[in-house]
Amino acid sequence: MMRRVLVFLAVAGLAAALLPLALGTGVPEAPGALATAYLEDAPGDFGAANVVTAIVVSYRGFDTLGEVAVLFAATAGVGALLTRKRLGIGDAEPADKPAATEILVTATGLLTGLLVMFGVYIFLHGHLTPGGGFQGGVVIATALLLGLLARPESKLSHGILSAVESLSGAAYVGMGLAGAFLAWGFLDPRVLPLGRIGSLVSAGSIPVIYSLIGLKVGAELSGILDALKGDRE
Amino acid sequence: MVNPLWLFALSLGAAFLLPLVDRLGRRIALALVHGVTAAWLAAGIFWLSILLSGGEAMDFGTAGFMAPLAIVLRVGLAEAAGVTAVALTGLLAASSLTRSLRDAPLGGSMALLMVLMGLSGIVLTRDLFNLFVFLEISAIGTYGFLGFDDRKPALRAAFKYMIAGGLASSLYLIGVIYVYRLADTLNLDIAASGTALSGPAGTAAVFFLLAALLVELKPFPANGWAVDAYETAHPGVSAILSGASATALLLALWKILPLLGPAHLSLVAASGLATFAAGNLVGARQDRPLRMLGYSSVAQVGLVAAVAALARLSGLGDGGSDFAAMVAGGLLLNHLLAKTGLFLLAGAVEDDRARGPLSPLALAAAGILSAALVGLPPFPGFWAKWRLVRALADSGRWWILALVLGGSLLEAFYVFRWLGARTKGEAGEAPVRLGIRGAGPVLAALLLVAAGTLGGIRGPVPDLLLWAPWAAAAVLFLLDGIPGRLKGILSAAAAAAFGAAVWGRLDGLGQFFAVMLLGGGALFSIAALRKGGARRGLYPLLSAATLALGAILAARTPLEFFFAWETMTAASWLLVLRGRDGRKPALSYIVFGLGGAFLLMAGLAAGGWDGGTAAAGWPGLLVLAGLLVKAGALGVHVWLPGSYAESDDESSGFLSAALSKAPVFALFALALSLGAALPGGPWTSRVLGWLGLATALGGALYAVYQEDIKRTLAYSSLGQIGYILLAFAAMDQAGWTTSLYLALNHFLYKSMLFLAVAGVIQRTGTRNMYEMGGLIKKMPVSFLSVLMAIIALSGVPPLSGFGGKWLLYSTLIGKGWYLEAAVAFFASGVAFLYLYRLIHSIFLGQPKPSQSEVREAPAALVLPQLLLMAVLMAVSVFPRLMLDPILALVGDRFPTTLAFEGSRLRSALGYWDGTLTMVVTGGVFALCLAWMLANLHNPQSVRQFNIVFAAERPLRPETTHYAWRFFEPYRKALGFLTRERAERFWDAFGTGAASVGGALRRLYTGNGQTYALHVVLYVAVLYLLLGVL
Amino acid sequence: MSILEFVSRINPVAASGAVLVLVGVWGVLARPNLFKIAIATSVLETGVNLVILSTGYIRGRTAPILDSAADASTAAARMTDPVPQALVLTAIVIGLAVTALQLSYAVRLRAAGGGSSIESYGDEKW
Repeated sequence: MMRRVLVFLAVAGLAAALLPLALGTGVPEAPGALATAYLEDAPGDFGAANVVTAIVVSYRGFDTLGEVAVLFAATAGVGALLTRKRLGIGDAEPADKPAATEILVTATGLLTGLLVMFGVYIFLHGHLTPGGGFQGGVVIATALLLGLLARPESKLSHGILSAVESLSGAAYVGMGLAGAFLAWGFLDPRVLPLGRIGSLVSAGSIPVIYSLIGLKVGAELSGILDALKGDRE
Repeated sequence: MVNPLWLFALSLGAAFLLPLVDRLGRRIALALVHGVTAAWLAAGIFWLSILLSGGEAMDFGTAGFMAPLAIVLRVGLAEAAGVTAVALTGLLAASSLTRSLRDAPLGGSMALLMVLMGLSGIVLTRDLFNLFVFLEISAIGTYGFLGFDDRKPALRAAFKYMIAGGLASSLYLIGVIYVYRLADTLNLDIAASGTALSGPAGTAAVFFLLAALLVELKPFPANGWAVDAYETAHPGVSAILSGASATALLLALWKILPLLGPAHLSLVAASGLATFAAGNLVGARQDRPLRMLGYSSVAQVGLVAAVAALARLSGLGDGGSDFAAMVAGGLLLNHLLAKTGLFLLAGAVEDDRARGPLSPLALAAAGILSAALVGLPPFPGFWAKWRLVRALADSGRWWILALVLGGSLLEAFYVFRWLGARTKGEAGEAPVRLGIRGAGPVLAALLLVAAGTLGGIRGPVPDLLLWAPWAAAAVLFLLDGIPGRLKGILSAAAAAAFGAAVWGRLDGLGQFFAVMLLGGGALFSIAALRKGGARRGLYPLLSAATLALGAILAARTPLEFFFAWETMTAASWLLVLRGRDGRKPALSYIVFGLGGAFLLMAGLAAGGWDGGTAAAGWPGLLVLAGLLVKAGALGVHVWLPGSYAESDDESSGFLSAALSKAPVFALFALALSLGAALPGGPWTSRVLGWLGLATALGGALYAVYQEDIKRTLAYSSLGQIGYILLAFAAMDQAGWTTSLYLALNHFLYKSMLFLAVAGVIQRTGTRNMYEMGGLIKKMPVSFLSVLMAIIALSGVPPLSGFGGKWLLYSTLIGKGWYLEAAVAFFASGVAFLYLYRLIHSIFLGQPKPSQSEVREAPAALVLPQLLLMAVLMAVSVFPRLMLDPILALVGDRFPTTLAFEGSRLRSALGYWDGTLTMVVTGGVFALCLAWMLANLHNPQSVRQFNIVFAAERPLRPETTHYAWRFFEPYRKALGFLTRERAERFWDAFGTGAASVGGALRRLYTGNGQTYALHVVLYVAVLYLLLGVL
Repeated sequence: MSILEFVSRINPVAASGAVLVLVGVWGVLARPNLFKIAIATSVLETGVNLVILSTGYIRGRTAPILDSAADASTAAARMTDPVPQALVLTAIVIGLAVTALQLSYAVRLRAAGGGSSIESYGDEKW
C-alpha cells in the first residue's frame, strides 16, 4: 500500500515537472533560426532534397555515427549475454518445435524478396524521400524475422552476417575519413559530386553512407534476433 | 593538435572490424583493443602537454561545418585531462580484465571499446544532443559490459542498472529537446550565452538535463542500482565505472554548469553533500569490501559535484574557475586513481576468496591507495582538501566544513578497517599473491605518489626538507630486503642527518624539542637492533615518523605544519598496525588521530595559527582541541592505551617517549604565536588545567589496575602528559618551566622504562606482570634502569623527578590553585602504587621456574639505558644543566618568579637545591647502609627457591601469584573513578553513527523497482525544491 | 486566459507524449515482471519521442523535403522544423538498443532459473 502511494507520488511529481513544459510551450509559429538555416542551406550545401537526411548524415553526422555505435554496442552486449552455452542450450538440437503454419510459410516465401528489395529501396532513396539507412535496415531485418518464424530450425550464417556488419561499419568510418581528406571535414559527404537535387545519384556520398548504414543495421538487427532465439555460439 | 575525430574513427574502425580480427586469435583482438586505448592515452597526454605549455583550447567541427550547424568537439585543459583519465583507467583495468576478456565472448571486448570511446565522447563534445548520444554509447556499452563474464549477481545488478539508466536517458532527452525549442540551438556555448533559458520554462528544461546527469552521478538515495553493480561486476568493470565513468559524468556536469541558475546550483550542492554524508554513513556499515568501495565511490563523486557547484554558486575560494578546477579536479584525480586501484586490488582478492595477508608489494599499494582515498598527505586529495577547507572556513560555511570533515573521518574509519583486516589476513592462511593483476593497483599507487609529490613540491610545500620523511620511507622500503640491523643504523643516521640539517632553522623551543623528538627516534631505531632479521616495514615507518616529527618542528606555514602533522599521524598509525595484535588499536589510533587532525585542520584553515585576532578566538580553540586529542587528554584518550600496548616494543617507547611530545611542542608554539597566551581568554587556562589534572589522575588510576606491563606504562604516559598540560596551563614562568622540565624528564625516564621493558618482554616472552618475578639477578641493568626511572617518575629525592614535583607544587601554590595542588598530590600518591608494583612484580619476589634461563637484555637495549641513566644522574646532580636552557627558553615573557642562585633554584615559596638534595640523600643512604652492615650479624642469603609449596594444586595457577590483581583491594575504594566512561561514551557515539547508517541502508532493498522509485522520487523532490528556491 | 484559449494553446502531440511518458514511468515502477518493465521502458521512450517530435510541429506545414512545389528559397516558409525529426531518429534507434538489451537480460535471467518478477533478484542489498 505504502509502495502504491509512493509510486503515485512519484508519478505525480514527475507529471508536475513535465506537464507545464509539455503543455505550456505551445506550438511554434515558425521554425527558429537554426532550423531556417538548415532549410535554406542544406540543398545548396549537400544537394539533398530531404533536409532531415542532410542533417542526419552530414551536419549532425557525428550523432549518426554514434547511433551506429550504440546499436553496435547493444549487439555486442546481446552477443556476449546470449550464447548457447550461457543459455544452457548446449549443442543438442532442441526437441521438435511446432512447425509454422502453412500461411506463414507461404507468405514468407512470397514476401522475403519483396521486403529486402523494399529495404534497399528505402536506404537508397534516403536523401530523396522519408526514410534512410536505419529504416531500410529494419525492414531488411523483418525479412529475416519472417524467415526465422516460418522455419524455426533454420540457421543464419553468422560468418556472413558478421562480415557484412564489420565491413559496412568500417566502410562507413572510411567514408567519414574520406570526407576529412577529400572534402572539408570528417563525415563531410562532399567527396562525390553533389549532382542535381532530386535525382538518385546526388547529394554526394549520402546515399553511399546510408546504404552502408542500411546494411550494417540490417545485419545487426538480424544478429540480435538470432541471439534472442538462442542460436549464438 | 591531434584532431580527436581521428581517435573516434580509430575506435569505431577497430570495434567494427574486431569480429574479423578475432578470427586471427583473441590475443590479437585484445592487443588491438588495448592499443586503441593506448592511442587515446597518448593523444590525451599530448594535448595536455600542449595546453599546459601555453597552448590554446581548440574546437573541431564535423562535416566541414562549425557550430551551430554542426557538432563541435573541444579540446581544452579539462577535456584533455578527462580523456587521459578515461584511457588511463581503461589501461589500468586491463591488467585485471584481460584474462576474463579472453575467455568470454567477443562482445565483452567490443563493449569495452565502446564504453571507453563513449566516455571520451562525453568529455569532448560541446553539443547537448551529441552528449546524449555519447552518454548512451557508454551506458549501453556498460550494460553489456556488466554481464560480459556471466557472473550471476552481476546479471541481476545489470538489470537494475538498466532500469535507472533508461529513466535518466528519458529525462535527459526531454530536457535537451526543450532547450533546443527555447534556445534554438544545441550547442552548449551558444545556449549558455543567451538569455532564452532564464525564464520558468527554460529553468524547467535545464532542470531535466541536470536531473538526468545527477541521476547518472548516483546521488543519495537514488543510487542503489549503481552500488549493486559496483559490488557484483567484474572488478575491472567496477574500476572503469567508478573511475572513468564518474570522471566523464562529472565533466559533463561541469560542462553544463554555465546553463544552470543559482537554484540549480544549490540543488547540485545540496544533493552532492547529502550523498557524501549518506554514502559514508552507509559505507561504514559494510562488511563486503566491494560494496563498501561502491558507497565510498558515490560519496566521493557527490563531494566533487558539490564543490564544483559551490564554487560557481557563491564564489567559494575567490570564485575563480581556477579554484574549482584545482579542488574539484584534485579530488577527482585522487578518487579516480585511488578507487580504480582499490577496486582492482580488492576485486582480485575477493575473486580468489583469499583470506591470507597480502604480499609486501600489494600491501604497500593497498596502503597508498587507502591513504590517498582518505586524503592523507602527500596525495592529491590532501592538497585539494586543504584548499577546500580553507575556502569553506574563509567564507564561514561551518556546516559544510563539519560535514566534509565528518564524512572524511567516517570514510577513513571504514577504509582503514578494511586495510587493517587485509594487512593481517586470517591466521594460518597463505599470503595472497596477485601476479599480473597487481599491476593495475601498483601503477595507480605510483601515479598517486607522483601526482601528489609533484603537486606538493611545485605547489604549497616546496621545502624539500619537509619531504624527508617520505623519502626516508621510500628508500628504506626499497631496501627492505637488506638485513634489519643495517636499516636500523640507516634510520638512526637519517634522524641525525635531519637534525643537523634542520638545527640552524629552529628557534630555541624547536631545538629543545628536536632533542627529544629526533633523539628519541634515533634512540629507538638503535633499540630496534635488538632483533635480527629483516623486520620488514618497521624501519621505514620508524624513520618516517621520526623525520615527520622533525618536519613538524621545521614547518613555517600552517599548511607545512599540517602536512608534517598528518605525515606523522599516518606513519605512527602504521607502526601501531604493525604490532602483532595491532589491528583494533590501530583503527582507533588513526580515527582519533585523524579526528584530532581534522579539528586542527579546521582551526588552522580558519587562521588559528597566525597569531591574528582569529587565532585568539575559537579557531585557536579548535587548534587547541585538536592538539589535546593527539595528546590524549582524558575523555579522548581511548586510543592511547591499546596503541602503546600493542605496537612493537620499540615503537611503543617511541610513541610514548618521543611522539607524545609533538602536541606539547605545538601547544607551546600556539601559545607563543599569541604572545604567550591561550586562545579564548582566562577560562581556557582554568579548563585546560583541570583537564590536565584529570588526565594525570585518571592515567594513574587506570595504570594501577593493569596486569599488562605495557598497558601500565601506557596509562602512566597518559598521566605524565596530564602533569605537563597542567603546568603549561598555569601560563606563568614557573608553570612553563615546569612543563618543559617535566617533558624532558618524561622523555628520559619513559625511554628507560620502555627500553627495559622491551628487554624483559623479549626475554620472558610475556607482557603479564604476574607471569614474571625475581628477574633482578638475571637482568641487573634493566632492574637498575627501572629503579632509577621510577624514582625519577614518582618524584622522590634524589633524582630529577623531585625537582619536577617541587616545581609543580610551587607553580600551583604560587598561582593560588590549591585544590589543583591537592589533587595533583593525590595523583602522585596513586602513581606510587603502580610504580611499586612495576618493580616489585617484575624484578623482586620469586623467579618463575620457566624463566631460569633468562639473560640480560641485548646490548642494543642495555647501552641506550646506560646512556640515559648517566644523563639522568647528571641532570639530577646538576639541575642547571637542564633548567638553564629551559629558563632561557621561557625568557622574560612572564614576570620572573624563578631564579638560580648558584645551585639553588629560588621561587616565592622557598628554594630547591638539586646538588644538595643528592648529597644529603646519598649521605643518609650511606649512613643507613653502614648501620645495617654494622648491626646485622651473620646475614644469610635467602635462595630464591627457598619456599614451601602447599599440597594443593590450583585450577588457575596464576591466580595464586601475589601479583595477580595486585591492587584489587583498592578497587573498592577507588574503582568508581576508573569505570571506562570515555570508552563507553565513544562506543555509544559509534553505535549511534552506525545505527544512522543502518537505518539509511534499509533504503537499499535490492529490489530494482524500488531503486527506480527512488530515482523518480528523487527527481520529483528535486523539482519541488527547485520551486522553493 | 479562458480555458478555451488554454486548450487551444496545448500542443496535442506533446500532450499525448507526456501522457505516454507517465504511463511508461508508472509501468516501470509498478509492474514487477521483467518483460513488462522492458516494455514499459519502451513505452516511456516512445512518449519521449513524441515529445521530441512535437517541438518541431508547426500547424499547416509540410515535411522538410524539397520537391517541385518547394525549393530552398521558400522552404523556410512552408516546412516544419527538421531538427527534431533528425534527433528523434537517433533517439528511436537508441531506444531500440536499450530495449534489445533489456530483453536479452530478461531472457538470460530467466534462463538461469530465476523468476520472472524483479522481486526475486534482490540478493544484493544494504
